[in-house]
Amino acid sequence: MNMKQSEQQIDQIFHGQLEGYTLSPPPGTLENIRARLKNRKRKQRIVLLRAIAAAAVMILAMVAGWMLYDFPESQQEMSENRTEKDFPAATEPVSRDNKKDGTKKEISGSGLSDNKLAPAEPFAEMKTKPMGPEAQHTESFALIQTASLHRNAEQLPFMQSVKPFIKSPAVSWKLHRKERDSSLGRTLSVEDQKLLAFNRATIADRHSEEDRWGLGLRVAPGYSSQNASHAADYSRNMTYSNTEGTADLNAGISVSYKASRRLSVESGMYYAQNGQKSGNSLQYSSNRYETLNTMYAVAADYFNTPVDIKQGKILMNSSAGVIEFSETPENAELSANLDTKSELPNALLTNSEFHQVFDFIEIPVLLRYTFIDKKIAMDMVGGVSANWVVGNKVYIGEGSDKEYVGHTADISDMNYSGTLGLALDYALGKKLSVCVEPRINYFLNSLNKNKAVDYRPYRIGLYTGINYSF
Amino acid sequence: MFGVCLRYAKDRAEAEDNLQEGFVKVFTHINKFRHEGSLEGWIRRIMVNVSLERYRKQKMLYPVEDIGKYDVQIMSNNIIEQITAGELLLLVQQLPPRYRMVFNLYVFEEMSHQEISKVMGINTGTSKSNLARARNILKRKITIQYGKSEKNQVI
Repeated sequence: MNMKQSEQQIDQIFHGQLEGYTLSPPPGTLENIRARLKNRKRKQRIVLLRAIAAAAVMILAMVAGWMLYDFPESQQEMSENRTEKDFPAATEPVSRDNKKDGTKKEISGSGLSDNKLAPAEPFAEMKTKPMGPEAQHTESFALIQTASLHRNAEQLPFMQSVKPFIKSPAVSWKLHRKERDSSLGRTLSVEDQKLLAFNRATIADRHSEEDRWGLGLRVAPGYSSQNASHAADYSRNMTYSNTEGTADLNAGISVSYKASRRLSVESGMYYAQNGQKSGNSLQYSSNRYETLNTMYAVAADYFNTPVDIKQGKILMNSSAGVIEFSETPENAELSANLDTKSELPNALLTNSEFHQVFDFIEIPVLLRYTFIDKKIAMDMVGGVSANWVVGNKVYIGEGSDKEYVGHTADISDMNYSGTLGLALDYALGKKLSVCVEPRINYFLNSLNKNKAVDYRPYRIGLYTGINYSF
Repeated sequence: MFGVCLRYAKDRAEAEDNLQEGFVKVFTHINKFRHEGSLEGWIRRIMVNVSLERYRKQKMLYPVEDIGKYDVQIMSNNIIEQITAGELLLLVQQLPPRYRMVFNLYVFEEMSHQEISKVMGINTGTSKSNLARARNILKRKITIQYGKSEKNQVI
């Protein structure tokens, strides 16, 4: 008989005798299983309740932050309204003069001479609180570390006695077992044994349930712009859409569920913002602009945008859709025709850019694939989002000179966008991690319902935040 | 299933715990059973996985026995006939945890060394050596406890 036969013999002995070996489980096993199942359900309910509570707190915090963020703006709007009431005739002389000669009156006011654009509105500085370095380690390492934390200097010789014990060759299994038992009994103090028992229990608890749920907080400074196309009739009288996007800040919470080791589903709620700047209508230069420029030597950098005046409303074609003015902007001049046969259309003359800002509540459904699952993990993220429009405002000017002037018409309330991103996670511990996640978000439908306008915003954001798994 | 759990456990108490944990998983994830194989096979896999999980949690607490080289021993049928299943089970339970795991996975689950290395997070060489050591420990104990043996040369 050779070695292989010997091996087969021992395998066959055990396989043959033990494969079909049955033994009744001890009485009470079924009751214990029932109790464990009940306990597990209770734990799941507690976890769910905790998640709901955490989400509620975060939503409240977000809403509170949002309200605080909006407060100065509301104050500004109130002061603007007050200014209008205090000086109700501010635009009237222009209209009267226009009635007489159909041309533009010389633009006055200190605001117009000051042609400097205010710097872009600074977004809130992102602060990621440095987290304490939480040890990320294997279970054995955890044991040693935990043990070493609790063990005082006098007990260190124990480790020295363990080392040779582990490395010593055993003469026989029995002898080795005896040695092990006696060695452990001799070297382990009661305190150490308690510590080991505690560690065992801690590890068992830690791994008793996989952390499948995740809760995250995200702040995302970013840059938004748009892709737009328009019908010829519409674009003929449209403000010039420049390619300059705007900087903004998104924030929100995410909830994820790990479906498998590498794949997880993520949702959440984000406050998102998209905006665009609109400048002069250059294509209009051959009409009123040229006339005005020649006749009255109006500064070339004044915007003169054709507007439509219907039932007392001033309407302006912009890249994102028709802007409906709720009031004539301060420091702007309206050049209107009473004579419908006039060759010159109505025009609004300003020296500031228009800012169209759309606020969204974004609810994404994302799939996250982890392709590097280490202390520094890497994920691919992709999915779709429902974007509910909660804010639609048009401003003229920037920064502290920003003035609310109206809204964009025909904006659809619910919109859908696609998201693609790459995430980098750094584990701070078993439960906590920080992430940096560049994402691009592109609208799948036109934000504007007007058939002449196809306006699709997109946003590149750097989502940073913290994740908690449970 | 209790028999399966007993083979992977160091004692009866651990086997009972694994059995309960395994059935909790069975009842919790019964909707994931795809009816592609037998229910018994699926439950058995769960029991094995639960045992492996427990081994992974505890492995750092057990020193690995370094036995070195062993002789190849062939046991006579007389010896083998004497031993009951219960006694063999006890011998398996007394193996060092890693040897016990490797031996069970190889002999009873019929896994290859490559598969064992994956589920246990060891390399195939370690798996092979652990299996050889497990066999030799078992043989030696059988020989010591149950009488004579024939000793052959290593080929």
